[in-house]
Amino acid sequence: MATTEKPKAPAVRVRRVLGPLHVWALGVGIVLVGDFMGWNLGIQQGGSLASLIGLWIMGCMYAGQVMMVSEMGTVMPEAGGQYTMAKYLLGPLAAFNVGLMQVFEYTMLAAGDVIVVGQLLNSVLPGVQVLPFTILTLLVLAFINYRGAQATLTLNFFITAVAFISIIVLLFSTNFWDPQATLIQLKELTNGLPYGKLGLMAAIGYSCWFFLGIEGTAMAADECRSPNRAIPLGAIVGLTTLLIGGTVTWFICSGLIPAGELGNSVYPLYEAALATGKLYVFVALFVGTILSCLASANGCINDSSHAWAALSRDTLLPNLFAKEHPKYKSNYRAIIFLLPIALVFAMTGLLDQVVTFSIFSALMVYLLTCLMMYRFRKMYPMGTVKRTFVAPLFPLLPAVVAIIVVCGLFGLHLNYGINLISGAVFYLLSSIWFLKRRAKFLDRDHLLEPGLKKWGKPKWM
Amino acid sequence: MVTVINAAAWILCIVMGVLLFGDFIRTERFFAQEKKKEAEKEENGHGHD
Repeated sequence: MATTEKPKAPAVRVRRVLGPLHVWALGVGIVLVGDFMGWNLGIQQGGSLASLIGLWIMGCMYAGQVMMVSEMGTVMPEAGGQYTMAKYLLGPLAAFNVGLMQVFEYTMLAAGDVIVVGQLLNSVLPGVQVLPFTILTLLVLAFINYRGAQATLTLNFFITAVAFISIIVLLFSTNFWDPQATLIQLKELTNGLPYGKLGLMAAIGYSCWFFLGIEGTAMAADECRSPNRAIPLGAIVGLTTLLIGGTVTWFICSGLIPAGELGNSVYPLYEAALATGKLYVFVALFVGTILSCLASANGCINDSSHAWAALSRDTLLPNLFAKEHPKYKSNYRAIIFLLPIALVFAMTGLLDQVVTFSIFSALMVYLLTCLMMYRFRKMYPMGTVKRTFVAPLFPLLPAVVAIIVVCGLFGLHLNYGINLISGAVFYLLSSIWFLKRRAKFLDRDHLLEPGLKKWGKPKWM
Repeated sequence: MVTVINAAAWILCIVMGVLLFGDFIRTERFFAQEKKKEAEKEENGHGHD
């Protein structure tokens, strides 16, 4: 009788050097790029009022996500966000899918960011080729990540701060506080809801872009000095920063550019800077756009490699990807493995396609998080385990979050139905591969070691 | 001017690629040697038994 060899998972020796500020920088750094491009597709689909409503609805959805993840995360026997929760609450197949969805969410986002860098440089200097700058940006950021997380995230903090300041510079350059001198066209601020409720649904899907990736903060838990404090604090402050940044962005762009033009703009904030006619604003927004793309891609490479290595460490993938660099202590094999995937998608230059796959993957994770919350409360009712945070409005909260996510998916399907089906088929095929080829190598004892010690066997085992 | 910028970008791509994959190959060779040494040590240990 043939025996199945179960690989031993290597020990984890990642340096614990990160604090709440790094977590904020990682979360906001990945997402802030959404203010500089992409969000305005919501205006094209549903009008400027739909885009603003969508922004706040999605803000509520993410606040709900943060609350649910905080309750479950503080009880989980190990760090790792939704992936760890799926592992303990839903089982290995769900954990594999959540991990894979997070990897592709971040890898596609990184590809989208470097596409924008190349295209922005080309728009300033029309003779400059897009492709070498796209490839160069990705290689440089992969190299920085290859050399370890601390240098990466300290750099992220500075470039995120500069990018955010550039939005504030633009806001103050409009003299918005002075009714006589303001550049903001308050009477033409919104074109209402030209496409009605269906347009609003479509706008909700694109409003996800303002926040997409903020949940990646949980990925850095292994490297935090105090994950129970740093992760929720960094995520909540990050979410507030993004909500303010998104509203300010909508206000400036809607006030400076007519809704019809704004919906079709490739770089809405950059175009708003041009509309002010001030050179220093134009320079600030050019720098801000480039830096926000770099910060986003930088954080995405970090998160995707962490997620890929976590899958490998837990034997859900072959364990060769879990190996750390002997000098830099980075997940160097995961970075090198994911680099060609990001490169191939970036080289297509199809920004909307890349972004749609990223959003679809993220929304699927959010949907599974709602399912996990119900499962969590059923498996561990109130009073049975010690919680440091309790999400309010249960069972209404996960239901409302799930409805918003489904609205977002419905909105996306209106224009990118084929992409959504392709994404679903990809995850289905991956699941079949996992069940047929990988599940037999699964080291269940190692996978749930901290949980088995704390709780005993979960229900799915 | 633009031609120079494009050429410089391509050259930098090659430089970054060499740096990144060069270190990757060196690291893999290092781990392979470590594995080989461990295997030899184990083999010698069994030989004494």
